[in-house]
Amino acid sequence: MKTALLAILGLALSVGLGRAETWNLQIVDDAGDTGYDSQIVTLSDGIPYIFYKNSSSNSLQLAWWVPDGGGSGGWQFKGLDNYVPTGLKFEAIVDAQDHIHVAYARQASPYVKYGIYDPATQAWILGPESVTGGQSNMYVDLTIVPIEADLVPVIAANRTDATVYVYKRDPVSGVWSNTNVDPTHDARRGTSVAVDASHNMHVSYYEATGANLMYATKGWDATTWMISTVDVTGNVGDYSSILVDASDRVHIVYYDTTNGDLKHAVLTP
Amino acid sequence: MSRRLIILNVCLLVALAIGYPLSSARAQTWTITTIDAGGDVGRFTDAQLDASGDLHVTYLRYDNHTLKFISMASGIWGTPTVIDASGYVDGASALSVANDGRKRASYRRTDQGAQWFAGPEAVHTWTFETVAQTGDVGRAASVLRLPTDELAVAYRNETLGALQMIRSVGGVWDAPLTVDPGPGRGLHFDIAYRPGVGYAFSEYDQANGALLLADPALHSPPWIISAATASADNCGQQLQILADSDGGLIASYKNATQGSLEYVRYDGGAWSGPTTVDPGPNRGSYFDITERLGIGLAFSEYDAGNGALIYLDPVLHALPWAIMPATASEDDLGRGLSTILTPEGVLGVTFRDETRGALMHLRYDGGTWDAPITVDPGPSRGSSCDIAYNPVDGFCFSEYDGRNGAAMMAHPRLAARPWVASIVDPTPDAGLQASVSMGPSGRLECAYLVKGTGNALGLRVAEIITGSAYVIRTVADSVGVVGGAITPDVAVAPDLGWSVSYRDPTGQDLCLASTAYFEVLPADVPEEQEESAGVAQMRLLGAFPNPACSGFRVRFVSGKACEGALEIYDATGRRTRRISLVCAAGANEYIFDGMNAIGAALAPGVYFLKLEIGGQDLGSRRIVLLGRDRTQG
Repeated sequence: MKTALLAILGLALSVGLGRAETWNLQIVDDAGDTGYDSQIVTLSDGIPYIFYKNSSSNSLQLAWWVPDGGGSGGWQFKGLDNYVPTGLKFEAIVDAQDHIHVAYARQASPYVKYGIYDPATQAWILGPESVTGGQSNMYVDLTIVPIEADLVPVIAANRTDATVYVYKRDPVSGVWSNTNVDPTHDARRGTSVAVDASHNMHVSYYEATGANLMYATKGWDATTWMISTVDVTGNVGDYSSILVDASDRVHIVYYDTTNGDLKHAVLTP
Repeated sequence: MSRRLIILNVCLLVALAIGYPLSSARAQTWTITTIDAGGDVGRFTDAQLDASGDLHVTYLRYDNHTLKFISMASGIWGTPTVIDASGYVDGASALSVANDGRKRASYRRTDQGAQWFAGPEAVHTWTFETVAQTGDVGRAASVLRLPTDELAVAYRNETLGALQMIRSVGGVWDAPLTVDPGPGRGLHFDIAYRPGVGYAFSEYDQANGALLLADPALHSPPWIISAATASADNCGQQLQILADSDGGLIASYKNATQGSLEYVRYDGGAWSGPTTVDPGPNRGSYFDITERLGIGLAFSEYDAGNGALIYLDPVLHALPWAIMPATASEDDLGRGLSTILTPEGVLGVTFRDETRGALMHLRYDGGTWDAPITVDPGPSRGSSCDIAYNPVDGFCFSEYDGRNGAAMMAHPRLAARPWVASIVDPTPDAGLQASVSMGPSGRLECAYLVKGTGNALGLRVAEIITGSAYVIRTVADSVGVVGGAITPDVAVAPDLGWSVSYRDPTGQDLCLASTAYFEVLPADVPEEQEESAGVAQMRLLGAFPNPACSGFRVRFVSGKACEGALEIYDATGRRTRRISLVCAAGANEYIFDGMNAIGAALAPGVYFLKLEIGGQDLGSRRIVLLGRDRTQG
């Protein structure tokens, strides 16, 4: 959903098709027990930034590539925060100004934080601030929504009480509000959020009792979510990732536990 | 679309607008596809869209712990590929799709509990190989790495007292050749390459105190050794060999009997000289030789009698050179000197101020000497010093901190000018016998020895990359012992890579560690990408192919229709061609024919292209020309 939003913002340039991928493998950081739950973004100049957790220090780490102009380079590092638990998903997105928006869960209050990091100055330009209503041990997913001149962060999270919440930040007051997406089902892992060009919100998640892939959607200011099942064949829906493309098609990529398969569901408007 | 579906969608839209819950209302419109069924796949997915609306996904194959990737093109799923087949991938992976379409992935591997990265970026890696193992070899070695990436190593065979060499072409090593069977050879020697002729050697005959030279034009391999000088003096204890721009060989050396610095020249047919550069006395302990194109040979040397640095240059001193100190200081200056000639024709010298224990620097632009600059005031600095240069950063230095036993570098990107030397490697007794090199792209690398456990000497390389970041890599843990007369040698093919020779003390073998650099930008940049990038900015995309046989394509984008110029420089900084360009807005490509300004083919070697468009300098790129003969091969 992040890339789709960037396209909506007119930020993404046209992309060549059929490129053979180049996968040079390399260690970024092997200090301690590290590398959990990383997120990677690429700035407009092609510089990758990786956010990841170090379990030895329970810290959120940042590594970024420093090219040397000769086709090679190396990594530089910075510690960003402590009390970040291992095993919980977090998210990072880069915007048009090459600012990186990061949402992540912590094991001490405040349980969820959101911040905007400026690679040009290697400093936070917002926060990281507490996301009101957060809970310990959450999976979080983040998207950013252009509302006039503002970029509004929207976070979806699995709480430990088996509910899915969506958190939204008021761009003027900076106050976070939240809604319970599905109070009736046993909503578990794999929560993902996307927002389309009309600002409708879309959430995918795993319903543990029926072992189904679920989908919820609502308008930006609507009060009630519409809930539907996407795939009920066997044990499906874990590890979902939801995206909305420029044609407002909703894509969900997810895990089929029964068959051990990778599946794709698309909803054409 | 049927009337029924249209009505249903209208209802959905109304419901969306009022926020009314519609359980399962849109479920029937989902199209579900299994996109990978190979093993237990699909945990820890991360999906991203590109601007074309195609999906790209990284995910874990759990039953063999590999990281997989699948991509959609024009709405059609492709074939899954494996990014990391190590069997140690676990946990969440993440994918990034950049504006230019390149994919990058981050993930965790359990074998080292580390953060990993997969993408077009790469660090160069060292390859290690034993290149000679007959006898006790490798105590002293000299390495050449040609612009064509051909490698040659000259080395001493301690068992035979012989000078030998071995050569690698295309990664395949020839059999070792004995240059001089000895005995008593290989204590002092140097190797040079004469384009179109072959490898030549200068060496010191210890028993007779004579300078010897082996050249393929004189003697087809196996070489027959002849004395380069007829003098009865003890010549050649310190020597350097240089292939000059006229195709000749210059061997400069110490005449220990006279205490003088001399050289001889071989033009492929006859010897000339010896020419006394400086009659001394007390000369030749430390010296360096360089050729100033269009001017002549220049020397820097140490005056052991007066503790002075001396520089001899045809512009300053008509032949035979009148000797004058480069510095007026009373300090003991000039030990351990090293000289470099920049592409702009400026000479840079670094040396030790023995009195103060400082590292010094002098600069000469062909007119007058600048005042000496203290790079590092010390104390206990300046030994094992070396100098490097590139047009972006200027001069930089490596040195050994004798008090703390640390590898030091003075570099504009590590500290503001005037230089403040920074400790690069604080390991005790790191930095012995440092050698530094800086490529035109800004890469700076410093190779040095470090004392390890016991008296073992390890070999390390510190790489300075853009900004102030640097990394230290251990090339080998044990290349010898302290006091073991181990002399590693470093050879650099500019921006092609490094080769470092060392001796495996266990097997008494000659070993070589080499790097190769990577080209990030592939040759198959899609047209769409170039066009889109051109709207946003002016950019030099690169030269392809590289290395090239003769001609190559220069690809760039221009934000507007305008004029520009492409300039080609050789490795010494001489401009060989200037081409006026008329550029269109967007993607541009110019096919360079590999010719110089008078229509002759450029000789094989390293060249640099410089592009200026609409008054904007778009930077430079290194290109290696292999030669037209390889085109037909």
